[in-house]
Amino acid sequence: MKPNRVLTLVFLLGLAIFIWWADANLDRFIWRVLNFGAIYALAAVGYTMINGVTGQFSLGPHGFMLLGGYLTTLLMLPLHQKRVVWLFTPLSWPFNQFTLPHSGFILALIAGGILAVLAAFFVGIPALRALRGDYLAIATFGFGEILYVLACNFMGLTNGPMGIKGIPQYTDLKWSMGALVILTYAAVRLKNSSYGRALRAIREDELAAESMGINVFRHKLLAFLFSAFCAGVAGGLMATLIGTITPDLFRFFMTFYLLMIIVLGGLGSISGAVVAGFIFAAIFEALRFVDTAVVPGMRMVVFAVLLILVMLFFRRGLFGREEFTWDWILRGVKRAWRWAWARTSGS
Amino acid sequence: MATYLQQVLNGVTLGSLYALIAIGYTMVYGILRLINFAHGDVFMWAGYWVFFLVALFRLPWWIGALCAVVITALMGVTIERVAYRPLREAPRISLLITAIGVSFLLENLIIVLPWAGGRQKPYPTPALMTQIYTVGNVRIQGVTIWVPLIAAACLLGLIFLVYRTKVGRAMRAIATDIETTALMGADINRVISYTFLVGSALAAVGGILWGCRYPRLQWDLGIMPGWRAFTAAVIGGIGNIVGAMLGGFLLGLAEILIVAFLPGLSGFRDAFIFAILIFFLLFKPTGILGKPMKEKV
Repeated sequence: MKPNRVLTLVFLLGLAIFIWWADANLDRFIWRVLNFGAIYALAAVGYTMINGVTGQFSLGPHGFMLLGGYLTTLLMLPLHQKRVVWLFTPLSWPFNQFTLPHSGFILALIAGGILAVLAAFFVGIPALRALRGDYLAIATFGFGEILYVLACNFMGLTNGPMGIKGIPQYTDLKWSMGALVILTYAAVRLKNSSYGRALRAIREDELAAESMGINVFRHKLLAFLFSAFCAGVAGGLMATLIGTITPDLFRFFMTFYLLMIIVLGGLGSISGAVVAGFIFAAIFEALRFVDTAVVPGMRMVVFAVLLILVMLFFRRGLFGREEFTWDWILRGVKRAWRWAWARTSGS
Repeated sequence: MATYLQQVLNGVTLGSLYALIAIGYTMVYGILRLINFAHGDVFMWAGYWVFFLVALFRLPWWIGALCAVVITALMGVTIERVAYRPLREAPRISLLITAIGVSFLLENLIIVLPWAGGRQKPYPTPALMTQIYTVGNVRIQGVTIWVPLIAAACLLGLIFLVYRTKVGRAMRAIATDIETTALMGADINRVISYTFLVGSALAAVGGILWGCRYPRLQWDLGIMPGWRAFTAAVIGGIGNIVGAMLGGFLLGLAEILIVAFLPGLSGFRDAFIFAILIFFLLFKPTGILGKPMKEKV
């Protein structure tokens, strides 16, 4: 076995032990921040796949998160709670008939992801074929806004702007981190496969990629569907973490957050998206005092300024287009070691 | 008959407001190929400037409104100078991301500002606009007369500027081919600043008149009108000034008529707007009047 693989396994084992310990013992506030970090990171990994790796600018992940969040909620909300929430308009069939038990949570999450993929298929086939650049961005943004309007109006499924309360809090670090690890692994494998090379070729030069025999549309669609799946699962996890959802939870600012994350991490870097997801969640909570002590809304001003500054002066982001590798860490350790060695032996 | 006439007048009023905003989108897109996300928020700020100057500083309404137009126009120029100009050579997507950042900044600044706040504020409307004229059995509010008139005057002025002045010629040249225009000795940055100045000033006029029509101020006021105006610009053929006016009037009329005669659908009207937008992007990206753009290798 290669030493790198050993390091990865050791890291995953350590992570598993930490999660097992943290779910029971960690301070609830930090636990919550970590959960949010994992969920943001998960959505951002998918988002960077289409926006960064493939270079197709989508502004619709909030719509896919909305789909995943609502479907997971509808599948997991206990029946008695369903009777309480849908007071004015009755809940539509079939969701008024059944609810999955706790053990069916994974099915609900996957169902949310699949619904998002179906929607992405429906949008992606015309949009990715015909549009690119900012037109694609506008079309996907419009799709997200249409979903928002539908969520506000289809009372029988979503309970409209009043939202759904009392969702059991099934998400814990096992789920959020587990989903993050699995889908990040999938993303890394995808990026390093021949498909991933094709995606990067499309980002660099679409016409050249096409003339090299790459089916541009199918590869774009693949990346788009992957990003939708990640967003759908992240939406489901978020709904069952927060416990209350309204259509406003999945509005454009959610995409704005994700955009900040992938820009901060470096457009096109999966590890950058993961790291920046956690950093974002931490800053988001750390700046909560600004909202409560100064003025509500100040936090968003800070984030907006931060995004503009990153775009103006630090466009590479944390990782650029590179990925985290053990070699990179090992080289750093070696260099530090040699430096320390030279210092001690020299003096 | 009276209702029809009244609704058509309402539609024309709304349409002229959309036309005023759409100009800014279409001019900036024509020149920089940038969808200026922040344009709708610049429009919103104009209403707030009137509120600040008239309601807080007690300026007479007309002077306050004129100052608001000037300040908002300078705001647009500043945004371009600070946030867009350094990215002139960067990939277009970076520019779009920055524009989204500026848009969020403008919206949340309003929430944070102590005199504006997150709550709704009443808009100071002059008496001329609220006065009601009765012609036969048609009751017409002042706004439905004055808004289209002022808008028409502004649009005529714009057409004169673009087609009959030196700056306008430079704008059209840049829209056709920015590099060649630069080689011809035109000061690209100055012309782009003028474009933002004119676009933001028209959006400001739109924002001020919008306040007279719907006298409530809120931080998210600019988002949906902005998108409707953008849709109007796409319908008319983005980059085409006359097209943006035409699209604005069409969209305004369609919106008022749908809401008036099919009220059951009014909850879905934002969805319709975006559906129209996506439809045009997919099947008629050049709009009604736009010229097809060639793919450059």
